[in-house]
Amino acid sequence: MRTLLLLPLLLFHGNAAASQPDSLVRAAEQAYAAGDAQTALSMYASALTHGRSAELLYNIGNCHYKLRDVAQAVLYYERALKLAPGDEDISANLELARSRTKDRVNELPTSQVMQRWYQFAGGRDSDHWARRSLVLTALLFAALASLLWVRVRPWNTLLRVTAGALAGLVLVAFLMAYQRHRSITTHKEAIVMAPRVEVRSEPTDRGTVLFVIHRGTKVYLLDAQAGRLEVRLANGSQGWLLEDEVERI
Amino acid sequence: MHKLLSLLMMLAWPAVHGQEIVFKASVDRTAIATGEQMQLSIQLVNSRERIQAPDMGGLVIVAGPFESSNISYVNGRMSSSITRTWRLTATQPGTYTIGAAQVKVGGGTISTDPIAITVSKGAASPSDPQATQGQRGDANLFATITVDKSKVRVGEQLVATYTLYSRYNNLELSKYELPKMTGFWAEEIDLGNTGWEPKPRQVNGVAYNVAVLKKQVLFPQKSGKLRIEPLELTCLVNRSFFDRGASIPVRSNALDITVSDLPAPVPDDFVGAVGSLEVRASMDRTSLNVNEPVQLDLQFSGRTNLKLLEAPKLSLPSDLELFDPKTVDKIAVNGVGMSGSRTFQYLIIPRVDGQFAIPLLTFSCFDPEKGRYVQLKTEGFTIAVGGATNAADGTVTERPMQRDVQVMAEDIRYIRTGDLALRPAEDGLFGSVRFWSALGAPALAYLLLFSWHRRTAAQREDPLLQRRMKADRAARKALQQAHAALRQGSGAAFHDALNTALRGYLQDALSLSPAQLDHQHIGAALTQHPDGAEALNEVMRILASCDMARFTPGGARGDQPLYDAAVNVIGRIERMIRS
Repeated sequence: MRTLLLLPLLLFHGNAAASQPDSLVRAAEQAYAAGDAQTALSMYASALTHGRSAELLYNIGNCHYKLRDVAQAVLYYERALKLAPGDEDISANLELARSRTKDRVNELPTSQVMQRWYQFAGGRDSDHWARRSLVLTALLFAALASLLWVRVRPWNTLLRVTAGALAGLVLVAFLMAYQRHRSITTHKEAIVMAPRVEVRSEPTDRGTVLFVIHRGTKVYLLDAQAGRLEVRLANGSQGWLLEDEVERI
Repeated sequence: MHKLLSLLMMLAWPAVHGQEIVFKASVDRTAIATGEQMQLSIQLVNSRERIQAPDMGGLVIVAGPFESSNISYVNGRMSSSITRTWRLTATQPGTYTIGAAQVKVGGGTISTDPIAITVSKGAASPSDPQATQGQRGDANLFATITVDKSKVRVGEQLVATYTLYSRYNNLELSKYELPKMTGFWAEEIDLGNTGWEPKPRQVNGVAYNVAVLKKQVLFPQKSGKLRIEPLELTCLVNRSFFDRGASIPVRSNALDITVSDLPAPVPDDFVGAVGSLEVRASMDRTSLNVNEPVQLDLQFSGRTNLKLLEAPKLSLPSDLELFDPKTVDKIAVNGVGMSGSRTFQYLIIPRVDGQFAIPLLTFSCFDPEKGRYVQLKTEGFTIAVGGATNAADGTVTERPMQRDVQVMAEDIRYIRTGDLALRPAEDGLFGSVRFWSALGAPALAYLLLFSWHRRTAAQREDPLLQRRMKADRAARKALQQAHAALRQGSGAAFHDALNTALRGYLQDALSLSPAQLDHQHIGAALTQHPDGAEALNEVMRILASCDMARFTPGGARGDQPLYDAAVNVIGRIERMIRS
């Protein structure tokens, strides 16, 4: 009788342990290594309800790719890349997944220099620039404060120059942090999820079909109206499609 | 001579006329099987009337009638006979009756007896339906298309034969083309010089001269009902020097072939062959040196569409350079279809030394007789590649041929493992309260610091104030000396130090010169403050005590109360000035 009473408790305990994000991630890792992408995907997906990171989104993208769902893979790689721009693994896999989609839209390949810039602009994580601007601000005021006392010639000049440079850096870091914040919190890009999407000239059914795009293609969102979105492709083509045909990055 | 013959005839006539007339029909046998032939002879003796053909009662005339006559003299009596012969056959079993033949002799008519013929089912195979059908169209000249199978799988070979049947003695063929094939891959069989077959062929008992015009091996390429269109040609018959002959168009039958798909699932290693197939792999050697060639032969043999076999792509270790294979065919196309062998000769050159496994290869073909896929396996090989020869001192003299690393396939990079640093989605630092407060805190601290600095700067700029601040520090230092001397019990040093401390302090704190350290000046400075008078008295008392102790011969002892009083008064004056 007592064991019976204990049983639900044990089960509950087991569930609680399994739903811990860390153990979920570890179990998913093992499943993925064993080639069971389906199980790995469901575990990573439930880990995603606890929190997110570029690495987790990247792993989910990998699972989708292994399950031959290229569009979902592209979506998750794009989401991961948003959190960690310039990450080499994510870019490489995204490029591979993108090459497996139906539509070939002439997206410019990322140059080495741009890759470097994305890496720099992205920082180590999404808060990198915010942290950096805080540290620089503290340093700037420390330099200003020490200027109050240091009146002797060479040191005084050096401190002034340092403070000036720091002020500039604070401005840059703050703008970078703002830009990162903007790009993470706004969703101006989307991936086509419907197998075949007719892009029309107007946000109604009467609009002329301008072109047809397929699952996995990336679009930039311009406007929204009555359940429809105005989108632009990388090659500049523009038109309206239904909101539920795409998923925002 | 002619006259003599006429004479003889005239002499003989009455004799003949006087003879009995016999008219009879006979058969060589009364029971035949279908397809077999029998002979009907009708003989008329001692009359020269024309014999009418009897009703054959359903039997088919194969040949005839042939007529022969015979005249003989026996003991001066002449007798004559005429015999007409037919060769007959039957297509269906049953009982037939050859009707009575009749002949008019003199004023009357005489007839033979009917003959009953029994036809049993022949052991011989019935003639093929295409020929029977053709015979129905034109019994003298027709063409057929026949196949060895009419139900096949996609890719399974079948043989189509185009045959011409003719009963004309003199026949010329005009040019013709084989019908267009849709859905088939056709391979013509080389028949050499075609001509009439030496033996006539019986079709339902009728003899025909037969010529096989063409034979083709056909491989259906898709499933469904595929149609072989009729063969059309034109023949000229009975053409001779005097006669232009008659042109007869001939159109053969059409054939429908039922083609079924290969059963699913198709194995991954299916090579596309339907039929019987064997595969054998061989290598000319398995031990060699770097950069030396070795040949791998892959021989496919059997009865199938060998010409459609493509060279399989070998997946070898990347340090073995593989060249495009050479194809060697020994393929025969004959009446039974396509058979033989196709060999792919791969040239392999190892670029690195070591042991290399050439993996076991598997292929599948579909065997229509068994109705399933059959897997074929070759043996695997291991080749031992010896290293390049090195010089005696151990230095490698040979430079290996360097090549780019080959990319064999593309795949995504592996997942990130370990801690994935998960964070709640709405946990960005930028824009949060934490962020703004952390940004504002240094600014606020600076502002506080700045205002405090501004306030203290004014004091620092004032020399009087500077001196007073110095007074406190100097006094404290001198008092420490005094205290040290007190501890050591050196009375002179104590009073000296105390005197210096107090005087120095008064000078700095009250901005007095050493000469002004008297009752009047100190009193003027101190009496501005409340309690100033009391402090003045105390100061004067301590200074007097010090002076007295200094000038006392033998020296005085250290005085703790005096020290305490000095510390006390300095503190009081300090507080007075500050306020």
